[in-house]
Amino acid sequence: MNCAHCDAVLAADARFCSRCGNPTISPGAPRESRRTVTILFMDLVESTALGARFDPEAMRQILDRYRWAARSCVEAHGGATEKFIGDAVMAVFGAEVSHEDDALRAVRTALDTLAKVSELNVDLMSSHRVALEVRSGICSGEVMATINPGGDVWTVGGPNNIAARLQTLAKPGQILVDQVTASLVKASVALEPTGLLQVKGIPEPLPAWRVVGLKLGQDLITDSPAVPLIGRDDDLDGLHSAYQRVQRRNRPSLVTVLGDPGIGKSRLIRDFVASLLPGATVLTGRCSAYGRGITYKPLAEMLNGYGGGWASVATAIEPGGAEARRATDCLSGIALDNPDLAGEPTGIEEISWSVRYLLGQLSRTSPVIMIWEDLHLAEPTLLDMVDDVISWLTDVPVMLICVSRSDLLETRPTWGRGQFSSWTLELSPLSLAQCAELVAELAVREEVTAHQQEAICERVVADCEGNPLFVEQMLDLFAETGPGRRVPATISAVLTARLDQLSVDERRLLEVASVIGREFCGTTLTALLTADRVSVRQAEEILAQLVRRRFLVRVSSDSFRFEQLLMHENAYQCSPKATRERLHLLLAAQLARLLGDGGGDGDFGVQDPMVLVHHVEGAIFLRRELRPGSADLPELASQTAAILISEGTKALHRRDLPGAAALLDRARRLISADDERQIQLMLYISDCLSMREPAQAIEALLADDPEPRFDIVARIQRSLLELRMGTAPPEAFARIADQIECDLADTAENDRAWCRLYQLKAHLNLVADRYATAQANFQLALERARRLRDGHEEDRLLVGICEIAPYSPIDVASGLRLCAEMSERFSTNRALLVPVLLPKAVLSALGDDLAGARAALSEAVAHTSDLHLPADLYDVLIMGITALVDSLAGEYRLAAAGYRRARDLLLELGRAPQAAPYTAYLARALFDQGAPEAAERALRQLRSETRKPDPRTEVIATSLEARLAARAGRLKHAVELAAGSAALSEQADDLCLQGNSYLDLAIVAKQAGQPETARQAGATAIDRYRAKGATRLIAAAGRALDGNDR
Amino acid sequence: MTEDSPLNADSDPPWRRPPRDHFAGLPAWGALTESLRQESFGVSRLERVSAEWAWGGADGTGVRVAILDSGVDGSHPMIPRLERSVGVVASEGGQFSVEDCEPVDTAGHGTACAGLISSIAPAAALTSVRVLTNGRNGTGAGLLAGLEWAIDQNFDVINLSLSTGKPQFCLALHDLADRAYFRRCVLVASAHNMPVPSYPWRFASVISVASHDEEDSSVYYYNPAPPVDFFARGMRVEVAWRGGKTSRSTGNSFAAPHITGICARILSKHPLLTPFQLKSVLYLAASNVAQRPGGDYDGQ
Repeated sequence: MNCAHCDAVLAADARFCSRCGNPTISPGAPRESRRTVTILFMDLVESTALGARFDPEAMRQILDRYRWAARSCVEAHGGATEKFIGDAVMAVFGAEVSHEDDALRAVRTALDTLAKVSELNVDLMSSHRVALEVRSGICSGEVMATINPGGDVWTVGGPNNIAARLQTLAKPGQILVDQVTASLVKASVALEPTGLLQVKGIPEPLPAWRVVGLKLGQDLITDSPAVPLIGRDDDLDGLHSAYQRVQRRNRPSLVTVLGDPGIGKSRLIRDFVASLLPGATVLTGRCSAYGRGITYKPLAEMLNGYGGGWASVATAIEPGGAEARRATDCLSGIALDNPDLAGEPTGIEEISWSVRYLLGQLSRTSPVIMIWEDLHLAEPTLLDMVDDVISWLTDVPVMLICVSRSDLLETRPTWGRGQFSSWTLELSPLSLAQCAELVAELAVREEVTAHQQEAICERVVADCEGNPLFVEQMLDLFAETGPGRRVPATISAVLTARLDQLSVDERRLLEVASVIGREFCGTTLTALLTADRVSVRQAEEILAQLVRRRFLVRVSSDSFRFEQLLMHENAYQCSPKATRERLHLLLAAQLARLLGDGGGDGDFGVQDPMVLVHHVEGAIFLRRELRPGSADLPELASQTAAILISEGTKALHRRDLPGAAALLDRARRLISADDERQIQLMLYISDCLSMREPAQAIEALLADDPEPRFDIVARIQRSLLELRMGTAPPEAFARIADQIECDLADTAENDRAWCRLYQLKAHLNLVADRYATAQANFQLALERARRLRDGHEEDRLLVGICEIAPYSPIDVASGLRLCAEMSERFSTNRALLVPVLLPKAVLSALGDDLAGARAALSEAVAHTSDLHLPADLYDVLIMGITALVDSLAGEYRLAAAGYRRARDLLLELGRAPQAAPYTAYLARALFDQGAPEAAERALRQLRSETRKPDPRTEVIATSLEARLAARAGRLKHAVELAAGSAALSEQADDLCLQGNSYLDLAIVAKQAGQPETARQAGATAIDRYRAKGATRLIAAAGRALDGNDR
Repeated sequence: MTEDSPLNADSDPPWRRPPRDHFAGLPAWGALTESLRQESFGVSRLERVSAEWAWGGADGTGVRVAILDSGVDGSHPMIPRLERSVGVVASEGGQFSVEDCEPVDTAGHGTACAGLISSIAPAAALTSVRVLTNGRNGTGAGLLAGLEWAIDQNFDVINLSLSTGKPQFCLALHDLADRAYFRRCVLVASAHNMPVPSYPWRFASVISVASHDEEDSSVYYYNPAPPVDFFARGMRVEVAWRGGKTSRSTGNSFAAPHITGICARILSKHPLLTPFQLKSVLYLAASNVAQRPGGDYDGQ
C-alpha cells in the first residue's frame, strides 16, 4: 500500500508513513468498491393523507414505530439502511460484504416488514384507528458502494432508481422484483410475472415479478430430481460402504463431504438417503449464516423434522427415567427455540450429552443418519458439539454426515482427524464427458429432439468446468436471454461471496491478476503492482495462499492460472472499471516498450504483439463505457492499430478473408476518423468481403460513412464492385470513371484514389475485351501502388496483369517470362501463385508446350486443394483453363466436358451472366469434336438465355454459326456471318480471338468458292497468331487451311 | 391416417404382405419347403461390391425417401419438388394422425436434411413428414405416429435425424424399427450429439450414423466399434436453411442424410436389396473397407 499523502511505499504493518509522518489510514477515509448489491425500497401507502388526518405529534409516533419495524427487519437480515426519504426506507444488501443470498435476504426483509407492520396495525387500530400499508420494490445490480467510517452506506447506480420505480408501481402490500433479483431468488421464493412494466426514465419496458411468498424447504441449489446424478457413482458407493460398516459393526462413523459451492454435495447426500432401504432414521439440519438462535438451529431442525416432530422424539426418549427426562428437558428447549426453558441456561456440555443420549435411544431400533448441511457456516459451539458427540459415542449405529465447503478446513484444519471410522470425501468437478452428459440431460427436456449440435451446449460444457450448479444456472439463463458474455447473476453471487471472504490484499491481487488474463506470470503481476504503486505484502505468499484456497492453480514455478474460468471473469468484473482501464494501459505501455526493444524476455514475459492489442482494446472498451461522450483514444491506440493492420494484411495474404476482415475492422476502431489509414483499411476490408460475397461488400461500403475526402475512393470501389456484379450496364460506370478522372487532382495524396480509379478503368476495358488498354491501366495503377508502398495492392495488380497475359497483345514469350517472374515472387504465398500458374498454362499451350501447360495446371490444382482455397472461386477458373488447354491440345471431348462442368457450376452458384462465355466455348468444343448437332443445341441455348452477350462471346458464337451454316450448305450466309465476326473481333484486341475468327472466315470462304477472301483471311489469321507468338495455333491453322473442312 | 389404398395381397411382394397362416404340424413361422414349391422372389446379388458397383451412375431414380423432421421448405432453391408433404396432427384425445400440409419448415432442420439427400441422390422422390412440431422438438407420440405412417406407406428409406431419450417410447420404437426392417423399409438414424442413451439410432435394425471430421461429403467410414454403424460428414456442413438461405451447421443430424442419399442411390441401382444386404453393401463400399483390400484386420 502507498501513503495517501506522499505516495511513499508503506511497510506492511505501518500505522504512520515513515517519510511524511501522516497516519497510514486516516480514520475518516471512506471505502469504495464496485459490487453487485440488492436494493430494497419500502414506502408507506398514502402517507400524505395520514399527515392531514393526524396531529404532527401523533404522526411522529406512528412513523417512528413503522421505521423501527422496518429498520429492525433490515438489520436482522444483515442489510444496511442507507436512508429514509420521507416515509420511504432504502436498504442495501451486500454493500460491505457480498453474500450469495443477498437478494433472498432483501425479499425476506420485505416479507418480514409486511408481517411486522400488520402486527403493528393491531395496536395502531386500537390506539389511532389507522392501519398502515407498505409497498416494496427490489432490484439487484452493479453499483459503486461507499462505506463511510461510521458504517453509513452510500450507493450509486441504476438499481437504486429501478428499485424506487418498482416500489411506486407496486400495489399496497405488494413486493415487486426485477429480472436479476427474480433469477437469484426463484429457487426459494414463489414469484408471479407481472408482465412488462413501463418505468419512468427507462426507454424499454422492464419485466417484473410479484413476490407470492417463500417456498418451504428449498435451498440455494435448485432441485432437479428428474436429472439423474451424474459422475458420482464412486462417491455414492463410498457412502453406502460407510453406512454398511456402521450397521455391521454397530459403531458410529463421521463422514465429511467437502466441495466447492454447486459441486453437488447436497444432491449426492439426497440421492444417498433416497437409495437407502427403509429402516434408517434420517435427521437433517442446515446451518445458517445469520438469524436469531442460529447456533443450535440445525439441531432444532433435526428434532422438529423427525417423523411426527418434536413430540414423537420426546416420546421416543421418555421411557428412560430421570436421564431421559433430563435429555428431554434440554432438547425441548432447543426444539421449541427456548434454550432457557428450564430456568438456568443450558450448558453446551449438557446439550452434547443430551444429543448423545438421544442418538443412543433412537439407534436402539434402527441406525441413525445425522446430516449437518453447510457446516462451514456453523458457529464454533456447534462444531465443538458435533466433535464432542462423535468423540464420545460408542457402540451405536450412528452415521454423522457433515456437508461443507472446503472453508471448514480453514477454521478447523484438523476436522475429522484422530477419530475412528472417520472419512473425508472431497467432491471433484465433473469430467468433460460427464459435464456434457449433464448438459444433454438438462438441455433436452423435450421428448424428441433433432440432432443439430447446439453451440450453447458446448459453451456451457467448456465454461462451467464440471460444476453442475453452474451448468444448470447457465442453461437457465441462456434459455431466457440467449448466450451472453457475462457471468449469470446467480453464479456471480456465489463467486463474489467467495471473493469477499478473501483478505483485502488477496482480493486486490486477484483483481489485478484478472486484468493480465486467466493465466499469468507471477513476475508480471508484481511488476504490474509496482507500476500501479500498489504495495501488496508478500505477494509470493499470497499467491501460495490463493493456490491453497483453490482460487488459483500453479502451472509452473512462476506461472498461475485461475482455477475456474468463471472466477476469472467474475474477479475482472468486480474490480472498478477505472482501475481496469488503468491497469490495461499500464500493461500495454510496458509491453509496447518491450516490443520496441525487440520483444525481450523481461518481467512481462515473452511478447506477442496481439497481447498488447488485447490490453489497449480492453482499455478503450472500458473508457467508452466510463466516458461515452469522449472520442479520445489512448496514446498507444495508433501503434496498436498498426499491429492489427500488419496481422490483418498477413491474414489477407493467407487468404483468411473473414479473419483479415475482422482484424482490419478492429484496427479501424483504434484510429481516428480522419486518419489516412482509414481509407486503406476500408479498401482492404472491402477486398476481403468482395472475394467471398461482392453484394455484402457493396452493402458494407454503403453503410460506411467516411470522411468527405475519403468518399471519392469509396465511390470508385463501389463502382468496381457493382461493375463486377453487373448491377448496371458498363457505360454507366464508364461515365462515373470519366467524371471522377476530371474532378480528381493529380497529387500524391490522391494516389490511392488514382490507383483504384485505374483499376476501375482496367475492368471497364476488360469487359469490352480491350486487353491492351486494360493492361496499360493496370500498369498505371501499379505505379501508384508502388508510390504508396502498398504491397497488398501491388501484388493484386501484378496478379491482374498476369491473369490477362494470355489475351492481351503481349507475346507468348514475354508473357511466360512475366509469369516466371511472378511465380518466383509468390513462391512462398501459394494463394497468389495459383492465379499466376493458370495464365502460365494457357501461354505454354499457345507456345506449343503442352507438357509445360499440364504441369502448371496440376501444380495449380494441388495448391488449391492443399490450401483449401474457396472452391466456388477457383474450381471454375481451373476447369475453364483446363478445358482451354484440352481444346488447344485437340482433346475436344475433354474440353467440352470441362466447359460444361464450369458452366453448370456457375449456374449453380447463381452467376448466369458469367456462365454465357462458357456456353459458347462448350458449343465450339462440341463442333470441333465433330458433334455439330450438339453444338447447335448449345448455341441455341446460349441465344435464348443471353440477350446481349459480351463481345468475346458474340465473336465465338457468330463464327460458330458461320461454320454451321456452311455445313448446312448455306454458304453465302456463312461467309457473311464469318466476315461479321472477324470485323467484330477487330474491336477487341485479343490476337488469338481475332486469329480464330479470321481462320473460320478463311475456311467458309474456301468452301463457298471465294479463294481470294479465303487466302486473305487465312493470311490475317496467321499474322495475328504470329504476333502473339502462338506457334501451336499457327501450325493448326496451316493444317486447317491446307486440308478440307471436316 | 390418409386414404392411401391398402396393400394388395396379390401383387405385393412377400415382405409387404400381412403374415400368412401357419402351416399345420409345423412350428409357427416355419415353412413346408420339402413339399411345397417355394415362391420365387427377386434377388440383388452381392458380387464384387465396390462404390462403383454399388451406386456408380445412379441418382436415386425410383427410390422414395421420407424425411421425418421439422418439415421441408418446398420453395427453397436447393430443394427439388417434393413428392408429398405431410405432418402429424394431435387430436383432442392425444392421438396423432398424419395429414397433408404445406411444404414449410419454420425450424430449417428438415430442409437442411432434405437438401443434403437431394445433393447426393437428386432423382430420389422426397416426402416430408413433419414430426418435430415445436421448432426442432416434438413429442414421442407424434414421432411414433409419423414413423408408423411412413413404414405403412412403403418408403424405401426413412431419414431420422432425431431421437428420443425417454425410455417410455423405446419399446414401441423398437417394434416399429423391426417392422420397417422386415418390410424392407430402411431407417437411417443419426446418433445423439451427446453421450446419452436415446433411440432409435441404437437399435441394430436401423443404420446409425455419426459424424467424421472431414470436409468431404463423398467420404464415409464403417465403424467397427458399435453402437454407431457409419461415420459421414457432419461437421460445418453447408446446408439449406430457412428463408431460402444456407447455413454452416454441425451435428450428427447432417451425417445421416449423407448415408440416406447413398442408400437411395444404391437402391435405385439394386432395388431388390434387403436392409441387411444394404448394410453389407454400405460396409463393403465404405472408404475404410473398400480401399483396403485384404484389410489390416483380415484374419487377425
